[in-house]
Amino acid sequence: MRVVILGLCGLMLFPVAQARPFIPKDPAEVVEQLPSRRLAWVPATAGTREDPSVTLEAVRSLLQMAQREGDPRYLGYAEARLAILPPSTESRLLRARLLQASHRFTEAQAELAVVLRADPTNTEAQLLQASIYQVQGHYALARQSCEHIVGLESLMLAIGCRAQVDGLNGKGRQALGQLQRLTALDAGLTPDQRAWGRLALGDLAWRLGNDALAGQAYASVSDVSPDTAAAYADWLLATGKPAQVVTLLRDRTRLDGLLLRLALAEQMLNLPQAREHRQALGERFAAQAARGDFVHLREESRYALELLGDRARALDLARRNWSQQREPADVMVYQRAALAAGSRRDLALLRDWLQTTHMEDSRLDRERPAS
Amino acid sequence: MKRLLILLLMVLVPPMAHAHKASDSYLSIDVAQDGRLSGRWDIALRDLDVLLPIDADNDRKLMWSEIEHAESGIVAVASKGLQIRTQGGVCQLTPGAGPLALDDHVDGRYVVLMLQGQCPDTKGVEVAYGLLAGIDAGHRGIAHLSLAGVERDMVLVPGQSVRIEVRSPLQSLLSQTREGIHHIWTGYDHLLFLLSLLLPVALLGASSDGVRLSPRVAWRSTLVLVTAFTVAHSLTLALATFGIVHLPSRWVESAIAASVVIAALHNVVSERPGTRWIMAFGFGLVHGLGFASVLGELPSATVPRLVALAGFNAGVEVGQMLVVAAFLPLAISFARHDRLGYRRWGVQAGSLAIAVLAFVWLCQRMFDLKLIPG
Repeated sequence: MRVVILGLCGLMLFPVAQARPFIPKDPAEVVEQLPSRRLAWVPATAGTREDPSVTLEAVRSLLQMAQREGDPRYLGYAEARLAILPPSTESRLLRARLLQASHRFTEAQAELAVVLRADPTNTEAQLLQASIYQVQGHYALARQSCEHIVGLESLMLAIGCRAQVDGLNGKGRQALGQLQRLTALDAGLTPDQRAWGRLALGDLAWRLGNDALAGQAYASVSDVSPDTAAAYADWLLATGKPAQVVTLLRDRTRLDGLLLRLALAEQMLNLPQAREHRQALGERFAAQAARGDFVHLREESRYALELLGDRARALDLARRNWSQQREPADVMVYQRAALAAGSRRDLALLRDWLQTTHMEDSRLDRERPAS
Repeated sequence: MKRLLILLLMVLVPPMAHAHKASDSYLSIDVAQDGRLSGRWDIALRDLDVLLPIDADNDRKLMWSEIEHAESGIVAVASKGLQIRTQGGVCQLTPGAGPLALDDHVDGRYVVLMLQGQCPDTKGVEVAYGLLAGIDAGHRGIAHLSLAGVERDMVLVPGQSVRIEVRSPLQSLLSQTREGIHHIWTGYDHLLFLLSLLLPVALLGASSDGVRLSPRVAWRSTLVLVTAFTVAHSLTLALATFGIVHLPSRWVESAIAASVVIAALHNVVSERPGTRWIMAFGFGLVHGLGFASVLGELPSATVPRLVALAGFNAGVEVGQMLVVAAFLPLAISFARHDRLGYRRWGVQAGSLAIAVLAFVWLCQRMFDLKLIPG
C-alpha cells in the first residue's frame, strides 16, 4: 500500500518539481538566505569519532534549534550524530526526544523503556513518556508517569506534568488553577518555562470556554516559537480577528503550519494572496508525501476541508491522523471533518472517546449542532 | 540544574507540528536502451552549505557568484553522492555536464546539475545513494528512474543502495497474461458465471426430442455471449485501472455473486436464448470491476500501464477460450440425444446447484461472513 501511495505521489510531484531551471544574470544576485551558523551542527570532520560529551552537547543544541525553528533538518543532523555514539542513558534520552519530535512514538517508547528499566525514577524519561502518552490520548498512563517524578528539585515539573494531564482528563478547573499559580511565579521561571506555562494555560482556558483568559495567555508569550504562533493564530481565527493573524504570520511562510493559518486568515479577509498560499500549501503536502512523511495529517486535513472544501479527503486524513495522535487539536480536526462529511459513524466514535476520557472542550460543543 | 530544567520543560511540549519539510534532493535519471544515461539532480543550497564552504564570505547571503566559484566542489560532492551500476559494471557518470543552474522547490532554492553518462547495459540496475550520509539522517533522495522505457519512483536513503530488476515490456506483458489465465481458473465465481451462460447453449440447435442437433448454432451463440461478456469486462477493467470508476470492493464482490445466482436461476426458469447476451454484457461490467481488484501493482506511466492491462486482459480471454473449448464439445455431445438427461440434470439441476452455491457467497460477501471458501 505504502509503495502505491509513494508511486502516486511521485507522479503528482514531478510536474511540480520540474519547473524551469534558470541561470541568474547578475553574479552578485543573492539567491538564498542561509540560516545563521550559530553552532557547528556537523562535526569538524564528518564520520570521525569525537569526544562523546562534545557530541551530546551538540545534539542537545540541535534539538533546541529544531524546536525553536520548526526545522526537521536539525533533527536529521542530531540523529546522524547520535548514531555513532556508544549507547548510554544520556544518548538514549536524547534519541527518545528526537524520535518524539519526529512523531516516531513507538521507537521513542522503546528507548525510554530501556532507560526506565535501569532507573525507574529518571525524571526526564518519565516526563517524555508522559508527554507521548498524552499525545496519544492514554491519560491514565500519562498520569502514572507523572506520579513517578519525585524529588524536591523536580517538584515544579511534577506539578506541571500532572496539571497538563488533568486538564485533558476531566479535571480542567483544578488544573487551570494549578497552571495559573505556576505561571504567576513569573520571576522564578526561565523564558522557556514561562512560554510553556502560558501556552498550556491558554490551551486549557480556551477549552474550558474562557476565551478572554486564553487570548491573554497567548498574547503574553513573548517568544515566537512556531507552536506559540500557531496556537495564538488559531485563537485569533476562532475569535474573528483574521487581520491580526496576517500581521503575525506574514513573514513566517516557510513553516507549513503557519502558512496554513495565514492562508485561512487571508481567505476570511478575501485577500488576493490566499490563492497563491493555498497553492503553495498543496505543493508542500505533495512534497512531504513524496518522501513518505505523513506527520502533518492534522494540518493537511484542515487544508483539505477549510481551504479546498474537499470533505471526503479531509475526513480520510483526519481518520489517519486520529490513528496516530489525539491531542485536543486532533479531536477538533476530526470532529470538523466528520461533521462536514456527515459521517455518523465517526461522530459516534468521537463521542465515545470523549465520554471515556472526560476531555472537556467547549469549542467542540460550539461546533456541534445542538441535538 | 537550571539548564536541565529548561530542557525538561521543553519535553512537555508536544512534538513539532508546525515544521516544514525535511531535507530532500530530487533526482531523475533516464537510461536509454543502449545504456546512455542522462538526468538531472536538484540539491538544496542549504544542504550544500552543510557539505561545502559555499558561502565564502560567511555573511549567510548566498550570491550566485559564490555558487559559480564552488562549482568544482559541488560536482565532486555529487560524484561521491551517487553511484549507478548495472550487471555489466559501473556506469560512467559525469555530474555537471551542462552549466549549473538554479530552481525553486517548495522549501527553497536548489542547484540543478545535469547528469550524463554511459552504462554497460540496462540489466539489474543498482543505485547507491550517499548524499549527506552520516550527516543528516532525515535526508532522502526522491528519485524518478526511467530504464529502457520502464518508469520507477523511489525514495533513496543516504548510505543505502537500491537494486531494481527491470522487466522488459514483453516480460511484464507475459507475466500479466499468466496472471489473467490464473485468475479465470482460480476465480470460481467468474468460472461459474461463464458455465451458467454456456450450460443451456448446447441445447440451442437441438430439436425438442434432441435427436437432431446443429452444433453450429451453439457455437455461434457462444461466440456472441462470450464476446458480450468480454467487451463489458474489458471496459470496466480499463476504467477502474485508470481510476475513472471506483466502487467499494465489498459491493462489487457481492454483485458478482448475485450475477451468478441470477444467471443460474434464469437457466432453471427458462432456456430461451433471447436476450441472454444483454445479461452477459450487463454482468460483464460488474465482473470487470472484480478483475481490477486482483490486478497487482501496475506501472505508473500510461503506456506501460496499458501494456500490462492488455496482457492481463489477454490472459483472461485465453483462460475463457480454454474453458469454452473444453466444455462446449462435451456439452454438445451430451445434449445430442439428451444423454443422461442433459436437459434435466445437466442444465436444470446443475444451474440450481450453482445458484445455491453462489447464494451462499452472496450472503457471506454482503455480511462479511466466512462460511465456505470462494
